[in-house]
Amino acid sequence: MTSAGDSEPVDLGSLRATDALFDRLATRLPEPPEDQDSAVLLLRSLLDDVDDAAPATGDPAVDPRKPRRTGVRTAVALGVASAVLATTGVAAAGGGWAERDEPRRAAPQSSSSAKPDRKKPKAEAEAHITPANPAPPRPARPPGRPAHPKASPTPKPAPEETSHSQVARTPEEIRKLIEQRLHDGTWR
Amino acid sequence: MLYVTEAAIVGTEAVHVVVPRPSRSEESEPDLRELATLAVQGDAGATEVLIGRVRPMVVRYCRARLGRVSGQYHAADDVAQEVCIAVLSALPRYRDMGRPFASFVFGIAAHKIADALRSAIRTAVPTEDLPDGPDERPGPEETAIRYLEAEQARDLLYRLPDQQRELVLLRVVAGLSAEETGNVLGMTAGAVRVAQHRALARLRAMAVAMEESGR
Repeated sequence: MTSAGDSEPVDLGSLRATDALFDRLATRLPEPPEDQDSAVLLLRSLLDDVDDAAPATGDPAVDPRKPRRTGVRTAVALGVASAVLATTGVAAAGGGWAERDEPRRAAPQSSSSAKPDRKKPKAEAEAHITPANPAPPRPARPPGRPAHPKASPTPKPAPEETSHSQVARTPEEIRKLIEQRLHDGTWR
Repeated sequence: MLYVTEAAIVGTEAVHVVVPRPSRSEESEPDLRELATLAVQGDAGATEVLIGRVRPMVVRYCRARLGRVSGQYHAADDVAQEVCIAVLSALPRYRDMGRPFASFVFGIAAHKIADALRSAIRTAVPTEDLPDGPDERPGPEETAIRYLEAEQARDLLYRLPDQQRELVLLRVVAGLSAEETGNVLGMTAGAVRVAQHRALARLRAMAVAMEESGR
């Protein structure tokens, strides 16, 4: 049986039981009821006390054996990415890519009113611009300038037709109105 | 000085066979050693993980040894921080001589704690800001009881012989295996198992005596 004396022998079963109990205490597992004497309860209280707001034990999530991106490599990668983005942006701005794209996008909008909004988000994404106004007013075509050959000379008024096509039709009407008034003698 | 020897075991079976299963620390120890090897070679990630694993053990060990000052563990936590800094500083000079890395760490910790006990630092205790939300922590009565029981446990531990006290703290509070504890204290694993058994028997006897005297 267990003895408190240091010179007395102890049996192997007791050693194993104590070792298992210490392992359970060390891993903060609950001890079996037969081991819950006052000394073990005091040790448990000490453990609860020192564990209070202490850093958690356990393996950190980072595995150091896996290659980690170091600070230098991160800086180089960020620099290359910034250079590519900056070059692309300058080229787009210098070549007028974004600005040219808008009239090209607006033309089919005026000619084919059947699909006015389908290509719009894609074109905006390609041009890397976000217009504040979804349907900006297009400047009026100067009088005498022929309309685009592919454009319909007399566009059908659609319910969802924008003022853009109305503006494109206005010079012709103004010219007819002036000619009619000159002919009637009512022009001043 | 050893208080027990393996020759005190009944029968002829050696204590070395009293290992029913590999303990948690035995399983994780090669990782710690591997981390230490990488950290010595200058791997910053390995050093970070190594300190991350060592620090919780050191904090608990320092808290158990030094206790609370003005109801707080700030002094013990400061010593634990000094231990971690000292480990980091000494890491380039660390050489794996076949002993667990924990023995290197707790060797430093023992010196730092001895320094702290000698100087008996009493520093200003910082207080937390006034909490805005409900406090989920235990109430004053429960906290007071836990403090008292923890102090009683420390009192009992300090009545043990030095080596048995260190052994219990390293095994139970810091969570070292018998082999690691033996390396720290200069004992075999079998001697550690016998000594911890005797230490627990003493603690039980003292706890019973304390209960009887309290009645």
